[in-house]
Amino acid sequence: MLKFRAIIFLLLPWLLPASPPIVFENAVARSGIDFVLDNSATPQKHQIETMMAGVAALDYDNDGWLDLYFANGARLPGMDKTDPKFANRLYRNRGDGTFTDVTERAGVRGRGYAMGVAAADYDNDGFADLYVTGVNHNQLFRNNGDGTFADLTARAGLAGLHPKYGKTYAVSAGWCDYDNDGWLDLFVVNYLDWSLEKAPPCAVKGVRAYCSPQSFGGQPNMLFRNNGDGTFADVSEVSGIGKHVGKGMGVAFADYNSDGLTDIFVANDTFRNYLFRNDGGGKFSEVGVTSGVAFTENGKSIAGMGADFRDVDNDGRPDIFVTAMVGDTFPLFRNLGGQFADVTASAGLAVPTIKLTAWGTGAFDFDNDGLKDLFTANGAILDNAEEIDRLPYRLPNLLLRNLGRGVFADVSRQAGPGFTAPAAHRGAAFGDFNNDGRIDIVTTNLNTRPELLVNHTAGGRHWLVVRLLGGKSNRDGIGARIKVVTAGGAQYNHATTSVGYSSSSDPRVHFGLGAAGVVERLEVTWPSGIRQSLGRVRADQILTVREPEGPQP
Amino acid sequence: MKSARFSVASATLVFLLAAVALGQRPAADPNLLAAESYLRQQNYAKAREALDLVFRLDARPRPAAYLMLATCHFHLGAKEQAVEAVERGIAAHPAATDLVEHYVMLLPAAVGPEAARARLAARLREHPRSPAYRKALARLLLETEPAGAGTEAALAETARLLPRDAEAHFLYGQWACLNKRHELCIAELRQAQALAPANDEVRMQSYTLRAMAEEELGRGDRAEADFRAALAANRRLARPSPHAAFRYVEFLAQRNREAEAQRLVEEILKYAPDFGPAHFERAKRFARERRLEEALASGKLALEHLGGDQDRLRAVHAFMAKTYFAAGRPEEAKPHEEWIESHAKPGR
Repeated sequence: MLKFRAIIFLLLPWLLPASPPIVFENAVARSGIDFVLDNSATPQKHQIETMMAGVAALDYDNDGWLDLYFANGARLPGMDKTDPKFANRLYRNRGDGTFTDVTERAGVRGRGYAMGVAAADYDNDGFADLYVTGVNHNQLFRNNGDGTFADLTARAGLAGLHPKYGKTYAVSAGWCDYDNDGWLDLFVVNYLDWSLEKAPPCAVKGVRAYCSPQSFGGQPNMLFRNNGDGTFADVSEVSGIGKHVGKGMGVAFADYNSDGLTDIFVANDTFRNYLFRNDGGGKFSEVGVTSGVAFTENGKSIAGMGADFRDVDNDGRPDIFVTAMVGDTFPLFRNLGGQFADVTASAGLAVPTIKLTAWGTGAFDFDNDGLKDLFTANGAILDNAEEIDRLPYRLPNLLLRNLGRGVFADVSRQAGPGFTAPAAHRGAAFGDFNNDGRIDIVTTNLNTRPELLVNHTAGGRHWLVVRLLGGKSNRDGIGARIKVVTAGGAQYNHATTSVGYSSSSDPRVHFGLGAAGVVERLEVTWPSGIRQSLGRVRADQILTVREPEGPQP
Repeated sequence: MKSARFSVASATLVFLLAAVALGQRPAADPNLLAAESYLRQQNYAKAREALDLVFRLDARPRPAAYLMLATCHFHLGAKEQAVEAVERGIAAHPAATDLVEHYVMLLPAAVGPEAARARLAARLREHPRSPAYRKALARLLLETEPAGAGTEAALAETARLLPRDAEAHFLYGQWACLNKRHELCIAELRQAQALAPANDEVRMQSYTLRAMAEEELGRGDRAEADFRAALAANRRLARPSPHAAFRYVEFLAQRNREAEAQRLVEEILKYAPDFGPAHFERAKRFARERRLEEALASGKLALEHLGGDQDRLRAVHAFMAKTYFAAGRPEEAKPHEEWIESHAKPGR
């Protein structure tokens, strides 16, 4: 009998159905998206040229399909967008795999040298708005609800001028409701104290190259409180955010200490990361060092790029994953409940990431097995990296499958030829573009077309997408925490559009359910504090959940 | 990547000069014997007086006299005269290879790298077949301009002209490692090892560098084999290198082979109890095991022994701040936070 059992045990891996590979197809060629991210490359190699740019996945016309908005550069040195090739571009999703360029009608060409995009419904009118960061100037586009947008930057007070620094170099921005008043506030991530006029020419090993961030001072981030009347108040100083000068790149939000308040993580470039703990009362404390996310375990200040702040081990506590540059490794900080442990090596992430430079990133369950996987959009910083460092400039992206037990495996090579094509990838946005329950990806690529990575992973696993409609809370439900319980166990996620680098993702919250055709219990904790519980929810649907008016019995 | 070297570090140069000079027992010249005695007492002024008498009485004394005189000059701050003394010795004894060997070691320390390069180049023009001058120039270029335009050519030429010289290949291999020419690095270091098969120092350094190159090339298995070979050679040395062994610790840690890494850490601390990075590694293990007091104690030891390595100091201060915080002693975390704050500004 014992012998028989042993044989069965040995055969078990072959008897169990193998996990189907996660497969993406780059469908941009037939999508109608002809956008080219143009950095106006110059022989002078201005530092800003290599830093751009982000993309947003938003449903601007509320037709149920995610549309795409791309930030774009401007002609240098004037930073003007008069040439149409530099326009930011909005593409409407027609629901059949194709997109239509609606930029001109929507009035969102933008101005200046753009960097990042943050999309959310800041005025609670039911339509997603856009905030575009850039060099010297940011822009707020309010969605008029009729397919057009209005530039309300000046009225809202969101041009990005800093009282001390003046014009800023803003890379990213994100929407969150830090004071839980039902109105989305805006966090703007400023990068370097840089100007075209004052920036020195830089060289690496005697070759003209983009300046390192260490050639410049940093800038503080800014926090704007939504007054609820279309205007914002700069609360950077009073909140404590403004006193921390960094070199911010990516921003991500989550309530890491389960106190009901949104905390803010900022990935800094060649400087320690910041974790702004929301202390309530409009105040933040920077706790990066004592919480263990400022540096890697080896004390390294990585060249932090993008970040996602999400529970990857289903313990109910959001963890932090950060992209960085070659030689750094991309750290995964596991939330132990108030403090974090750098688990990069034990998660199997050190070896596959140490030779890469990545920008955009996201933790999503690409194969619907109930475990969030990791994606990074890769590309070297220097466009002459080959000449200077003997390293490739264009890199393939990286896909790390979550195997459970806190371990990831590099499955990039099995993800399809469209996935492994090298490019100078930058931003990435995530969402279910074709509403088939599988998370798709769009990346921006410097001086070429984006990649529209449509998820074709087989396996027929179940899923659930939750669309939140806030009432007392902000309309998008951003900041709401969701727990789903199935026969396979519990898992957690929260609503945010602020994911990765300079980019903005689907506000809907996705869950892979594996073999579970039913969610036994779905619990939503709204930013207002209202808790809502739904039982026996059918899988494989996009479920709209409205915030109840008061606590449920 | 740390540069491994055959040559001695400049800090030990003068002692070596003195030791070699004293090792070459002169004939029973009483003045030379007196000079030797003064040198043993580190009385360089008196030693020089005695050597002046030696040179007054004998226009061409034994090579040891020139080295002793150079040692005196060097210690008395007359570095140019030290060089001159050895140069005179070389002129008087062209076949004395020891003098040339010590000349090329002394030169950069005495006159600085720029002037040393010019003088070595001149010497090489005069003696184009001299392996010592050629290697010294190559070594100097590697040390001062590892990415310089002419460095590769000089090192490649040295290896080509001295195909049976282990150091020539070792130097070229190091250059290749530093410049990410990983395959060349491996090939040249392999050649150096083949030419000096019994030299465990060479084996340890070469295998370590080869392992790092293999790691860069993504060939983890070969890297591991080389790290193991380096470790074996390192263990045979009278004074094993904690730095080389620790590189293998980092390799193992990156692969989540915690138990093996920690065993090696304990081994390192046995022969190098003052090696800060190993104490830090131990501290991190204690913290992972939630043995916070032991973690803090090891962290303190790491701080004591890290010297001026700012990156590692920052790592340990960050660790201490976080661990004190975890131990419920936030007040004790503060000085470490303050150290980090005062040592890193997001400015230029």
